[in-house]
Amino acid sequence: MDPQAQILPGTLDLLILKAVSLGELHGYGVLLRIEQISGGALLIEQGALYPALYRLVRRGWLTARWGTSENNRKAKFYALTAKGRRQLQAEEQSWNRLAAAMGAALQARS
Amino acid sequence: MRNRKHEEMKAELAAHVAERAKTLEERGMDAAEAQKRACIEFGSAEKYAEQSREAAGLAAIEHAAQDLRFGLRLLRKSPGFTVTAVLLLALGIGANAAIFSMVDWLLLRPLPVPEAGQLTYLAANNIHDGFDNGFSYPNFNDIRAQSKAVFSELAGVQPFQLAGIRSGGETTTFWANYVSGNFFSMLGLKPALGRFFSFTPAQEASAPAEVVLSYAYWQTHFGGRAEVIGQQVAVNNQPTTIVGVAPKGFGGILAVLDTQGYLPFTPDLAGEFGASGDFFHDRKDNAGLLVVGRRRPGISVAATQPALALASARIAGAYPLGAPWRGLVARKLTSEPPGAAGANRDPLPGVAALFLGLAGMVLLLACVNIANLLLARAGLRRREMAVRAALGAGRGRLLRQMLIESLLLAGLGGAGGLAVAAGACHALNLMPTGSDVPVVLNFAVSWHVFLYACAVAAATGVAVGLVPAWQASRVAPQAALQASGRAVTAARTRLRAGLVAAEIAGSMGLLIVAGLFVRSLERAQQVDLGFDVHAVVNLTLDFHAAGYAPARGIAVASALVERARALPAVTAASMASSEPMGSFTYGGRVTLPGRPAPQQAPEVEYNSVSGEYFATMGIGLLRGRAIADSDRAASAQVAVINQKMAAAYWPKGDAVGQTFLLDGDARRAIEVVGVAANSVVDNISDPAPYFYVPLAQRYYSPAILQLHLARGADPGAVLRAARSAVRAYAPELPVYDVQTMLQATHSLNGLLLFELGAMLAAIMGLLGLFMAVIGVYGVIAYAASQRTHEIGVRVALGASRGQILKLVLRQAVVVTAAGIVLGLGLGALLATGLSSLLFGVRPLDPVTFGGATLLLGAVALAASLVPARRAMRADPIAALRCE
Repeated sequence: MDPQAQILPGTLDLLILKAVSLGELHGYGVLLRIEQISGGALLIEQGALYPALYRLVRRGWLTARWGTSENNRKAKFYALTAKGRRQLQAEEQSWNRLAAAMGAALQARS
Repeated sequence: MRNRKHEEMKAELAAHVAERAKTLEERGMDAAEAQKRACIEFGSAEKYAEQSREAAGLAAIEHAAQDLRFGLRLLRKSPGFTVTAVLLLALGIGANAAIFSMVDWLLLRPLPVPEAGQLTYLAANNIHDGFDNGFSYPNFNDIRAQSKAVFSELAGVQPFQLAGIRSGGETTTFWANYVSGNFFSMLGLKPALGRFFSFTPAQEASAPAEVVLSYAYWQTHFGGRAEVIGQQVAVNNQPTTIVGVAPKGFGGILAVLDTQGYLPFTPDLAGEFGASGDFFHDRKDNAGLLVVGRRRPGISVAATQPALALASARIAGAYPLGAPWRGLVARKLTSEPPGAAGANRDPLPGVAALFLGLAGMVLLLACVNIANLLLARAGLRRREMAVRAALGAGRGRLLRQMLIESLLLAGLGGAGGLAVAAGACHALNLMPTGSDVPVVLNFAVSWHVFLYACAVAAATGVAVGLVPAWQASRVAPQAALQASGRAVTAARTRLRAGLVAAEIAGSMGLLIVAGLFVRSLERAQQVDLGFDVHAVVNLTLDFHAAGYAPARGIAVASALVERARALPAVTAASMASSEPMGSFTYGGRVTLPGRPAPQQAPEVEYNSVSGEYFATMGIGLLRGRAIADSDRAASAQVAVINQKMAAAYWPKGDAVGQTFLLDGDARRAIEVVGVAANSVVDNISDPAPYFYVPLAQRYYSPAILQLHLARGADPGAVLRAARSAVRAYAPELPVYDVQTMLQATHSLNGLLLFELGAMLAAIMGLLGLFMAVIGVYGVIAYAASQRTHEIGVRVALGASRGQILKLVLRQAVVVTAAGIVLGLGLGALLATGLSSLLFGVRPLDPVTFGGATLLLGAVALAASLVPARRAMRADPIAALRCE
């Protein structure tokens, strides 16, 4: 397995938004999806998901509803709102800008 | 609901862990192993649950409730601290609320009429560049007619006149407003019963004799019965019909005075003022008519100026002698009685501000004390704070907790303060005003005052708690948990000592102000009044209220004076139209014959007296003769002047034999027949020029019957005898203000304000002293307790008990000295600020400053002695052992 990288502070929100943008998920599902889309390369402390999820709900980027999971267990499902979608786009763009800038800076010769 | 959400959250997290465990199981781990692994991977469920709840915003309220409960428990566990702190706050907040309630009642209350903000009164800019707000009826009528553009209604009021009312039986005094017909419609009031006056301005001079009662008077004197409407009473001995009752809560146009009824302008109103002339046609502005009006909607006070200027120019142009105005101005009508605006600004707002400031300072001292106490406690709670921080409480949380505790304290103090204020208001309401003039003092804890107290309490809570909270939240858990209790930094003790020095300075300031006021009172009480205040008693008789025409009044007055002289234990008796520091004064413009016109001359006050006046009052006669009973209406016009007037008008040579004119009346030139010693007339300050004329020649009602008592006579018995004599001779004559001259000097014009000021200031001073004592005791005790270890070492090394005492006291002395020096500076500043309110005392009065220094120094040192002695007697072994 590739060595896992600790996620930078502040990027958890972005990952969650991305994960949920691909479809409604409950908390554990978000974790799985992040693992999946990052190829297992990102290390996330599982419990930390939940404060982040509640924060995103409070800021109006996610909505939550109670439903039943695949194993017929009661679970809270999170979905992206329109506002959240806009936020995701904005954060993606700013992340890409940052990455490009860093990359250019680190590749500079002399 | 909260618990349900909490349960839901826990369920959600638990479900996550369960799913993870299942996944791991599917990957081959055994069930128990998978569960354990899932838990570890998840992290602390408690922590994340807590963080989730905070993120969801649910935590705040619960935290606050927790803090509140904890705070209450903490307060209960240290009752000494709690009681002290709450008491200090209650006193501080209570003093502020009480003073504010006085300010609220006297200055801030609007008149209880609709749209009171539109009400204005008019004043005329006279040629002396002052302002008069008393107009004559013809002038008022003309202004009323010519200013309709800016005023929807202009009414005239003769506020606060004494009438006599009789409804079967004895005539009693009746304080009335004489009003124009449109008075009530101008105010926009509806009668509580019956109707108001129904005549138009054109009919004012021949208005029917009707009276409108005030609501309170109707309740107390007519039993609140509906049958009074249409009932006939005699007002000033004229048959008058009661037509209505004014609404509840309305007490006339001068809010502080309790009007008992309203009368139309009557043709014999001129009799009220004694001066010759007809009220409705005499154009000279001496009728004291207040002109009050309602501005049209949207017109500001300034916007009335052009219309008023036009009216003023027209009227002054047409009647230059009757209306010698430079212009008319409009002013907002507040609950302050309209004073002559301009030079003689009413001092009430300034005095109110001063006392609010003093009360504020007392509260500040209380806050400093409590902050000090809280700082000490914060020091002791460092371990607790450290543990909380280690358990995950953020800095904000710690700060919030400490603030909630101090707000709790402030809340309790505020509640106590309202109780203190209510008690103080009750006591102030019962304050005697030295006169039967019905002043309405209804200081109470109104909702204004309640809100004010709440605001003050909240501000106090935050102010007091902020610094200790800040200090407490700045804790580094590691260091605090490891350190021993001796971790008080020098900086913290210096802060506390500094606070106490500031407190002592503040207390000094209050003591100095109190001392100055008390000495002013002393001086005022010792002023040589120029008359024999201890041997005179007074009865005020209202001839006009009995319906006497001037001739009858003069005759009855002489008869009564004769009967009074015949009473036992009376050595002299006389009648006078005014008494020193009383409610009635009369004046006129004095000119010398052949000199310029009266308009330019200053007004000089005078007293109309009968014979034996100077003997009765004990005023010395320096030259010539006194006014005698033989000076009758038809005799030559004479006067006795005082020294000041003699020096002002005839500085060279003898004033006796000279003549002067009063109000420019050349047909009644007055000859000076005597010069009397100066005496106090209006108030305590320097006597002004003054003169005395025979009552028979210038008759006024009411008049005061004054009796000089023989040595050892009982004033009460003499007054009772006099009253019976009056009642026997003239039963329809109302008698009031039956009192000794000494009581009369304690009136609102006399010593009452000095006494009130001294009392309030002294209370503040004592409160400040109390605060300073507690502060000094607290900080010295604390400092000494912190040095227990050090003291133990010193004693073990051979220091004597005396040396230990000196060691602890030295700190006290330094702090006290610093505070006193600062306090002297503060006191000097305050004293120069209120020098205008002092009487007979220099602002930087050495006795006051020295006395305050000694008092505070002694008290502070005494307060430090207790902890010092305790430290001195400490057991060195125990001291060394304790950390």
